[in-house]
Amino acid sequence: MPVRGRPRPSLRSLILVSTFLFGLLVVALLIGQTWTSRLLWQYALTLGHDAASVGIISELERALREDHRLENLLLARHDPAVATMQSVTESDLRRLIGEVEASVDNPVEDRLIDRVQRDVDVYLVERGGLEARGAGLEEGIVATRQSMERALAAIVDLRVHNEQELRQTQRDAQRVLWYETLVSGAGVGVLILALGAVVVGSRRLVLGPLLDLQEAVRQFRGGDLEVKARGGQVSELQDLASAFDEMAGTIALQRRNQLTFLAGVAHDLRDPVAAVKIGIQGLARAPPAATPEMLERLDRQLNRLARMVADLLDATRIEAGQLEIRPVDIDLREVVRAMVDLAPTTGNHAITTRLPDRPVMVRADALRMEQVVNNLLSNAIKYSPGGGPVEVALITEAGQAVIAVSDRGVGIASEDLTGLFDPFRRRPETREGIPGVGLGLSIVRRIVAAHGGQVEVESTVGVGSTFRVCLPLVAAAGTAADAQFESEAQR
Amino acid sequence: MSAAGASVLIVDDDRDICTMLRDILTADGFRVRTARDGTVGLRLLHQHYPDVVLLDVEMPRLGGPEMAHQMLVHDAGMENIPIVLASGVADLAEVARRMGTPYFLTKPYELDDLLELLQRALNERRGGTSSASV
Repeated sequence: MPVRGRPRPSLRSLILVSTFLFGLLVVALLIGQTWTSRLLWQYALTLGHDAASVGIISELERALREDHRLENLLLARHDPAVATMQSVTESDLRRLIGEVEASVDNPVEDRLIDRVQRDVDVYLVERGGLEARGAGLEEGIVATRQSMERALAAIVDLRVHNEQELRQTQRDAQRVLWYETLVSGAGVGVLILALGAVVVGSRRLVLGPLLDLQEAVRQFRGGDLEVKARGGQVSELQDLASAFDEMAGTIALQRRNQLTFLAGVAHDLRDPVAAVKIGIQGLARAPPAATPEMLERLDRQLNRLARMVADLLDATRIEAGQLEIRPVDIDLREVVRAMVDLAPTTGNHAITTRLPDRPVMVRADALRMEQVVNNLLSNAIKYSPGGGPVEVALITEAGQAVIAVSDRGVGIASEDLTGLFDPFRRRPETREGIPGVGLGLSIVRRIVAAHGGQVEVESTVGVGSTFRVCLPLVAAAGTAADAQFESEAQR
Repeated sequence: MSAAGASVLIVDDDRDICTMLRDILTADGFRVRTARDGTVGLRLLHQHYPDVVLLDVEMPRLGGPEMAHQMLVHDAGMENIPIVLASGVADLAEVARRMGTPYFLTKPYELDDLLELLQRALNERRGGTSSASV
């Protein structure tokens, strides 16, 4: 699903964002856990406290019943030992009421305790009165029943209230525990979902495109040079895929150029080989058609073959970075003269040279310079198949020696000017009928560059081309001003 | 093998091939003319009307197939002149098929093969003309 119109997210930012979100989730879960733990701890404390209160109140109830029983016993027997025991239960009653009072934590309970205290006091006062009067058992039972039962009822009310509170707290605690379990479960669920999302996202955004890329590399290695890598939606992988495509495209183009070049070379070699074969078979016939011209022709065709092979070897060596140059101070006029004399013209090209009167000294390898001039001259002749003038001019300007080779040939279309000096290139529209292996210009450029100079070309289709080789002059040579004397030599 | 004075037009952009073939075929009894491209070839065709044309494919100005096409469209009678294609192009058989000639030789070729092919082309032409005159 290609995303257009907006920038692709980078893997780095995706990792940052997901790490941040994960951290946030984990922190939220931890905070929730701590909070519910504290809450449950508080409930536990409250429960303990409530349970203790219920215990005290039960004891209070038991103490009241015990006191009443002892009271009846005392009224029946008037035994001082029973009186002693009763004083203990009375102090127990007061102590327990004090304890219950100390643990009071709401107004309802407060009111209930006040009632217990008041009713117990009423009971104790009535009981004390009976003893002072020395009342009998039956009178005592009748006199204290009411106050005793009221006090007991107050205590039971307090106990019931406390038991209700205990149950309420239990229910609250259970509810909190339930919520806590729910929230934790949900949190863990979200965490698992997020992890799943990360795993699925990694597969889709990272692993998938990486496997695609690996597959593309495998196919490319297997010979499918047109394979394209899919980068997916992450910018880094998209960049990687684009880089791969670019590299693969370059390699594919080089391969195509080399194959085209090889086919061209094979084809170009056929003509001279055919000529030599015809010549030799002609010589072998009876009567032999051997003439000095025939031998000359064979020699010329073999030279042509030799030159093509030498060009190939040269180009191979130069492309491998093994161009060897032995520079000495040379006069470029001599180079131009020698090469024009040896120019491979078919006779219908008028070659004009324009040379200054003074030496044009450059520091260069003479053989390599001859190769440069020869290649440019051959091209000028080759690419003006209909004949026509070819001019070789040597001038000096701005501290440079300039060799300009001009023809009135087929010219070069502007779109073919880029890459003109690349090796293994021949212009398709001029390939037909023009011999050569298409290495001359790349050799020229490498040689000139190795001498610290440069090659320029100006060309118009149907009008002709001018190639200019610029080389730095040796300082001792004539100045630019007096180097403009020209002589003309017609060939 | 006797060519019995048959006339051949050789059209090839390689000067040496033209000249050497001319010498050899002349020694064999052919009457030979040569042209270095299709334009000159067409002009010579008009002037001399040869018995057979030995034609290269890739040439400056006017190539072999284009010249053969001109022979068809321009003059009645020229389509009867057999063409022997001789070239180093990779798909020569296909070029020959499109031009409608059964005679083609891939460079470099044996001289005997060329002579045999020229003879076959000449024989067929004679056969063709004789059957047409009956």
